[in-house]
Amino acid sequence: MIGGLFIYNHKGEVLISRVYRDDIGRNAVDAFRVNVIHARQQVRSPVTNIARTSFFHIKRSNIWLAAVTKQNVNAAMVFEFLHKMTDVMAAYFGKVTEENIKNNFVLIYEILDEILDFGYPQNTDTGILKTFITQQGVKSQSKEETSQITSQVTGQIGWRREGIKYRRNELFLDVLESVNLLMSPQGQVLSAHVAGRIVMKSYLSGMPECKFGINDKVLMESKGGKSGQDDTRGGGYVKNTSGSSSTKTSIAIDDCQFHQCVKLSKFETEHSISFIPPDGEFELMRYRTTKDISLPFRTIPLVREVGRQKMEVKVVVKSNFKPSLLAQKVEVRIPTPLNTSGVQVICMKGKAKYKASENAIVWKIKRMGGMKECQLSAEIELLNTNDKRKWTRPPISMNFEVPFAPSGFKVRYLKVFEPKLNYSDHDVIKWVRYIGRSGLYETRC
Amino acid sequence: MENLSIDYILRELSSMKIATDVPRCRHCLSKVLQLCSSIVAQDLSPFLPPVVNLMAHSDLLIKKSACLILTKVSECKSELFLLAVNTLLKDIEDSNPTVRALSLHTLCAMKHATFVEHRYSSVVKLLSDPSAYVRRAAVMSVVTMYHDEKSVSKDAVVVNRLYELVRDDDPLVVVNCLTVLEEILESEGGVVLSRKMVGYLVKRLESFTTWGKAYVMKLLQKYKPKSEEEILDLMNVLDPFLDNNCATISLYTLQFFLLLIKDLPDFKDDVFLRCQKMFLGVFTCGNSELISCFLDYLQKEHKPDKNAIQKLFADHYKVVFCKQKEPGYLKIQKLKLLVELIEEENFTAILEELILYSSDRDPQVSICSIGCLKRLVLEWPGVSTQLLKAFHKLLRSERNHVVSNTLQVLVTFSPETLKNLSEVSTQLCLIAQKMSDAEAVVAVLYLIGQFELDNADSLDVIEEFINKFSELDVKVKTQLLMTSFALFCKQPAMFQPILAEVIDLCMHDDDCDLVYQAKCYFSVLHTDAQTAMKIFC
Repeated sequence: MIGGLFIYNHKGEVLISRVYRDDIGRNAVDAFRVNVIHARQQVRSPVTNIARTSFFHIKRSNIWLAAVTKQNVNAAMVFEFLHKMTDVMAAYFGKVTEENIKNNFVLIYEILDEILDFGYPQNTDTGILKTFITQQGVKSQSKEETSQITSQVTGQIGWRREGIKYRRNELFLDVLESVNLLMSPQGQVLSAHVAGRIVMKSYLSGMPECKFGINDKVLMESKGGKSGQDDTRGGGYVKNTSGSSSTKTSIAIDDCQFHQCVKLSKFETEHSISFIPPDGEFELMRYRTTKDISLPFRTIPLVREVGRQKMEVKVVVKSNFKPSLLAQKVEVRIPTPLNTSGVQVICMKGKAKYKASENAIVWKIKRMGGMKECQLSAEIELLNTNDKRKWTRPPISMNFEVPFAPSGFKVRYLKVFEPKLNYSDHDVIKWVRYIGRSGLYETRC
Repeated sequence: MENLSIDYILRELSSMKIATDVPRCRHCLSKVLQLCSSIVAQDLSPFLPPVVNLMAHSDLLIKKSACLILTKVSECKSELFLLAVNTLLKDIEDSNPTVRALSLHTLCAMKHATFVEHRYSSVVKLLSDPSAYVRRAAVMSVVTMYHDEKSVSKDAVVVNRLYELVRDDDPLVVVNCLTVLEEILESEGGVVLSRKMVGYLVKRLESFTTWGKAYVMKLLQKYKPKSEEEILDLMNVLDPFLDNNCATISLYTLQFFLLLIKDLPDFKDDVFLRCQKMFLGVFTCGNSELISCFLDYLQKEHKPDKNAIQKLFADHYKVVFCKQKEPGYLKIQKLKLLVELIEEENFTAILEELILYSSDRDPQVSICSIGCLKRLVLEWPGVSTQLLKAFHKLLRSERNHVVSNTLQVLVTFSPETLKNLSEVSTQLCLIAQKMSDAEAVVAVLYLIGQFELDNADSLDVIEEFINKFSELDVKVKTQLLMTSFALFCKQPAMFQPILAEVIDLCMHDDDCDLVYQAKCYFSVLHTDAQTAMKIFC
């Protein structure tokens, strides 16, 4: 196929020369320069034949790119290839000018090695090339963003390579939420918000188009859905069949950010999340809600100072979710004054220890079911201090992990369409997991 | 760090510390590469020792650069090659597939005997490598070997393995195998395309890269299906490729289809119709070289199919209009196509376009465009008024080359056609004085001779030329002679003195051809006036 590739500047000096076949000698380089670049008459045709060798050239600004061959090659293919090559170079370092070529010398040789093996065009997709080429283009910084934008606009897919194949088509959805709370001593919610991330691990063949449905309030209202009972599923990974029911609560998402692959135009018009996922693990979206958060735990503290040397603390922890669910790694931190000398602690569930270095009683409960109550009483002995200042009690903080989304977020469906390969939505095995973690979960006392 | 001398780079590369300082090392190697590409052939053999050492470096980029430099310096003989071979053989066992592929490439690119003895076994080994990237490289290396020793094509192990790899999972490996087999088995007619193989390739076509698809489609053109049912099946399956994003694939598919339906002419129209969108798309893409290729294809391959092409573009002729910035050759090709597309409805529009191009800056384009106008005159006698206006306008153009081109084209018309354009003649005398280049003057004089002009004007013109006779170009003089004779034959009384003068001048001219001609014509006139009239009018 292509025997050699040469790049010249407007003066005819060779910037890059790569010869793939033996039948192209050094004189080919000179022949092109003399006959085309320095020819007195105007260029007659992009294909020039000199001594049984064909030269195909394109001229971009003042750079000449010439492909040379002695064999019978289809001209259209060579020109498309040269065109694509300039696109690839532009994607790495911006406009194809003499200066850029000189600055990215080695990169161009690497690219040429990858895209043209022995004169046959191989893979010219920029996304895939990046995995093989070690260098970054000089001047690529500002172009990264534009190429991302252009790919969104033109629909080019740089985040997924073609020809991916799996025997079992599976996808795993992790809804990871972090609930943050600040509660007053009287039990009033001062501020609460949930920050959520949807992480998807997709092992799907081909280039599947996925549609993701959630119980977003805007969407539900537009479809005339009623708000009804909560219907959480069991803990751990659960197989999610594409069930849909109008008796589910909907959540109001304050703001959300999507991964590059999500088609924003569709989201704006129909409020549907449609995308072609990258292979493997990636974060699909991030969101925040502040309304209608179901707080998994309620801490009720009771502090009584007995004289100046003793303090009695009683903390009740109530879990507020379905009894069938289990919260894990529950930890309650009750801060103690700085002049504590000793603590006696009684609790029926879990283990509580006084940690002097942290000035807190740390109460750990391995597992706690829903709609349960646990209590801890502690007697704190204080040292005599001359300190007249009253101890400002820091809030009681909690850490936990629950198998549901405290915001009420529900994955309604995740449909996969791959028209070209022969697997349908039903053949894909889907798993959904909800993990709600505590962020800053504090109750003042 | 610019303009480093060879000595400096050599010192840098040979220093012990260079291996640890990766960026500096990369920079030095890139300088060496620049030297390799420079016009003046440099002697790069002093670089060989440090470069061979650097081939064993762990940094991938340094390795790549070192191997590349090694291949460029491969003409030198040196014992260092043994060291290089050892490094490469070790790298072929490396765990990183990029390194394995790189070392195999380098090994096969070197022509020296030390490398040649190891490459066969390495290639065969890596053809079965677990990594697809390495398999691709190995397949390509087979071709490199083949060009060195043709016996590889007879080697059963390699050829069988290549045929096996056609069924590989990785699409690039498959395409590479096909290209390699085509080349190696050229003497036997390339890859054997059985029905099963064709079916398999067609099924996998979607998964190939653009270039892969194009290549496989070209390969499929060799296949001759046995039954009409098979033809229709193939066409149905390959139908989506006729209208592909990549124009080359569509073109190849079109060629394949045309081959398939050679015996079924009814389908031709449908096939072209399917391609219509693709053709229109090509014209609107920015790639002028590609458009030029397609136009070439349409002109050459489909001379008998003019109707088909006309149908394709009839409603979309605007797509073919030229843009200002396009190169000259492309405009000329487009003009030729435009003329084919003219019909009643779009006549005015295309005519205006042609007039526009006739006044183009580029003389080549302008003359081609005027040539097209001429074609119109010949093919569409009914619309001569519009064409006349066109010619008028052109003759009044400011640009000399436009006028000169118009005149040259007018000259090529036959006398009958010219009679229809007689209004043009009024401007001729004015132009005659304006023109400076020889062809234009010749044309003007000829035209003056043809038309029955207002005698006073033509008399003036000829007299002027007589006054300038000695400065005139030979061709002009010849034409002047002919014109004088013509005018004389039309109006003997008026032009007789003029003719006498002209003949006199010619006979005493330096150019012997002219003298001879003058004598010749004079004798004809002298002997037989009647025949002379017939000849010169």
